[in-house]
Amino acid sequence: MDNNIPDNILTVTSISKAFNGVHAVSDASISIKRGSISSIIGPNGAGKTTLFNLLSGATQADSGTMNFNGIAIERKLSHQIARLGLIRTFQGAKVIKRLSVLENIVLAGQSNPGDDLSNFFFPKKRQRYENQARIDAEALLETIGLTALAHDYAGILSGGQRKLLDLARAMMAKPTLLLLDEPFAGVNPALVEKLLEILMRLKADRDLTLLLVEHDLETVMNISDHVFVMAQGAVIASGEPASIFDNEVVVDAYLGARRHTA
Amino acid sequence: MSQFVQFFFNGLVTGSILAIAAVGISLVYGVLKIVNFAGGDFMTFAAFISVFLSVTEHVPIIISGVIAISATILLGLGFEWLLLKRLRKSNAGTLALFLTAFGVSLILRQLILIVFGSQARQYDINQVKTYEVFGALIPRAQLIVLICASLTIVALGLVMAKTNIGKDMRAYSDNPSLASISGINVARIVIAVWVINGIVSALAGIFQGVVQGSFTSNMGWSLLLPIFAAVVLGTIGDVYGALLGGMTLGLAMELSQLPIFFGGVPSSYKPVVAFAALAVVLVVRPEGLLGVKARKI
Amino acid sequence: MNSFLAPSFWIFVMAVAGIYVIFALGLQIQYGVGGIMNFGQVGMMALSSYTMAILVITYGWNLYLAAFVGVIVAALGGAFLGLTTLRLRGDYFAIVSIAFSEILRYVINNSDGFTGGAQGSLAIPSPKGYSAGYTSTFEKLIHSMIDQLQPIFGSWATRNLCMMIITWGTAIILMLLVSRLERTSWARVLRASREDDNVPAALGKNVFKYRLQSLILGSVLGGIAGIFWAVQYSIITPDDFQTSITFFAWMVIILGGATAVRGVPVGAVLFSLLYAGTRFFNFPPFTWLSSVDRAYLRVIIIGVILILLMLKRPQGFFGKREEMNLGQ
Repeated sequence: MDNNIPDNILTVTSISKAFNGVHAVSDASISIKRGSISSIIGPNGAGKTTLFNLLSGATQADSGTMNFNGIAIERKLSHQIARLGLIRTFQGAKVIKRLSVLENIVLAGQSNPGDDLSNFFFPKKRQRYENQARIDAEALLETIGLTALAHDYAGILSGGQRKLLDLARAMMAKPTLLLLDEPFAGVNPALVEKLLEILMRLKADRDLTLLLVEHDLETVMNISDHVFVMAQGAVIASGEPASIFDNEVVVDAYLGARRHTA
Repeated sequence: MSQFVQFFFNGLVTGSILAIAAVGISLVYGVLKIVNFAGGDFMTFAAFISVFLSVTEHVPIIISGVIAISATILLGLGFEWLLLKRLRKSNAGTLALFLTAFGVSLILRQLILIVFGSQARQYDINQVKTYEVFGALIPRAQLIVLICASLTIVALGLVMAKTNIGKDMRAYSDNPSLASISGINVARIVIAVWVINGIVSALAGIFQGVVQGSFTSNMGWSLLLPIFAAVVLGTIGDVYGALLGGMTLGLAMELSQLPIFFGGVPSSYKPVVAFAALAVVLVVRPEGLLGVKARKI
Repeated sequence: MNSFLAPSFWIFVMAVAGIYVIFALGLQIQYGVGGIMNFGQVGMMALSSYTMAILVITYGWNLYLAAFVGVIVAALGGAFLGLTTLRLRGDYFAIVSIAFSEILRYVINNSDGFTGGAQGSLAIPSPKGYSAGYTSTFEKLIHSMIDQLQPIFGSWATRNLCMMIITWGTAIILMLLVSRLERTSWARVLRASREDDNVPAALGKNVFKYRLQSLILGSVLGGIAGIFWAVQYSIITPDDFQTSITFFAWMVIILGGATAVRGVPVGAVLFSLLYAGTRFFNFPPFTWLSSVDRAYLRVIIIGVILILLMLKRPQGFFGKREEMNLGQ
């Protein structure tokens, strides 16, 4: 194994987070292989979103470690983690309504000299970046099929279109690990197909690892190399899709949860 | 020792007035979610009305007080129905509410100047009679204020704890959607808030006028930041907290003059103690002594 | 009514309007771009003008150098305010920003040996032993300006005309720069974070840093306005820097619309016309009142207009309604 490129792009060890005494995530550990597609499944309240928030830096863990590409990220802030290449999408696909569709994507551009005030007096440098960023953004827009809406306010997009935009925007940020928070939730089957197709195409073009939180078990089965099952804050099972769905512990956790909520 | 007793007593007096005024601000914020920038001027309004009635028109002081309180209640209700209701309907943001309250505050102060003039006012009471306690001088007028203020504070506490309207107000302030779903009459609460605000602002204004000796149209406005400090210290929206915050701040402001605190804060800097307290609380513990969370990034 | 048309009065009004443009431009950067509600902006004026006055009077510094340092002190004030309190929720920050400027004013008012206390710059201690003032260098500049302008403007070439030219000249340059700034990706990040903090953060932007920068830039402008205020009036006192000044500036922003730079001069001129113009109302109810009371009524009118704007047209002339209500 090459020392400089770890096999696992992400290693989470015994991570815990409690809110007001309730353990949202307790002693969870996962490892993600570079270039793989992994999914986290589990009943509501299992701690999946909290885990995502911990990974992306939106919340700080109480204990445990997280290692991304050889760098410890458990104490880092969200923007620092994002800059390292760990990008996430949000449930409900947040778009910036007051910016245009294209601007939403360009916003995600990394290392933009225009973001730095000291470059205010170097318009050429800023412009060069903006021009290239535009081209990249337009290419992504093309991939998701929203080129016609490039200059409209993102607020006018439908729910499905927002998901596409969210995806394109995440891609613009040059992720090496992409966290997708329920990307197919509330999306009609035809659009699910389309989203998957775009996702796979984007992944194929890059060195990209995917980690999804998803409820649609069929899709999870179809696309995942690896599945983690969470229940009540802990990772109760981990393995290839086929073995997971035969696993009694898993079935119990789901049915158990259903019995609770029924 | 006498210095300590003196400052302690002054602290109780200041604190009780701040506490009462803070209840008004805190309640209005807790239930209606607006920062009442005009709160200080409500106090001045009541003070001027009562001093005009009792000194110039020779109306007995109790009756002047009652009239002043009623006028302040009406002022609050007018503010609510004419302005706040409309702003809420048009989905006004924080800025619009802020600026509107400030506009009202500015207008009130100018109106007081036009109607009552700019000279300082004084109540027609004996400011001279003092008692000596452990070497400290306790003016009788201030002692009376302290007693009345304490009674008011106790009454407020009882109203909030025991009456239905008090419980409803606290429930609504904690969780508006849950409260309205469970059948609480929101319109009634809104009126109750402005009635209580009117009473406490008026009383605080009158008490402050008595304690200050003489006062001008700026009286309430200059107290506003210390009142905010008391509110935030006690957790914004929490009436008991406002009472606690007010007393604590009043005592802190007065006792800070004791030599053990860096040689004693000079008396003209007392307000700075309040401003600084406000800033420090907001930075270190914005949720106040009793509260939950208030940060952003 | 003939004094109503006297150009010298209106030139004076416009000179002050120019100062308000610069001051309000600072607010525009902070609010219009950064979404920050700063109600302590007048504190920056106090910092810059008092720094300049003290450096010149007590330490004999050159006026222009002192002015430069004054603006830097204002920027540092903004940095201090931001670093300590900018992470707070919008309305809490607004309140603490008022506390900031009031603490400053209070301290200035009570530091007699240093700032001249309540008497203002006239009482700042000077090695010359008397109230030397700080504007002598500037007056020389004004005199030479008047000499140059006299052939063109005749009797209109007054100090106020020079001030008007200087303030508006500076204001125009600043507005051009700020307009440019508001079209950069820096501004885009701020505009995005006004709506939702999490999105830019998830894309690698340190939102706090951007906000702090906008606060500091606004403070620099506030500082520049403070310098102009100080030389316009030749004397400064703590009472010049009350919270009401900040609110007048907010009114300028609201009148012109907070979202675009071009709204600021419009708002400033409108506000100045309003405030100054009401001086000439010679009809009831003004005629019923003494002149002292008329001054109060004029402020009431400002307050009423502010409230009406909030009720009917919070976005001002150039703004978009959604901009006022979208996330803060």
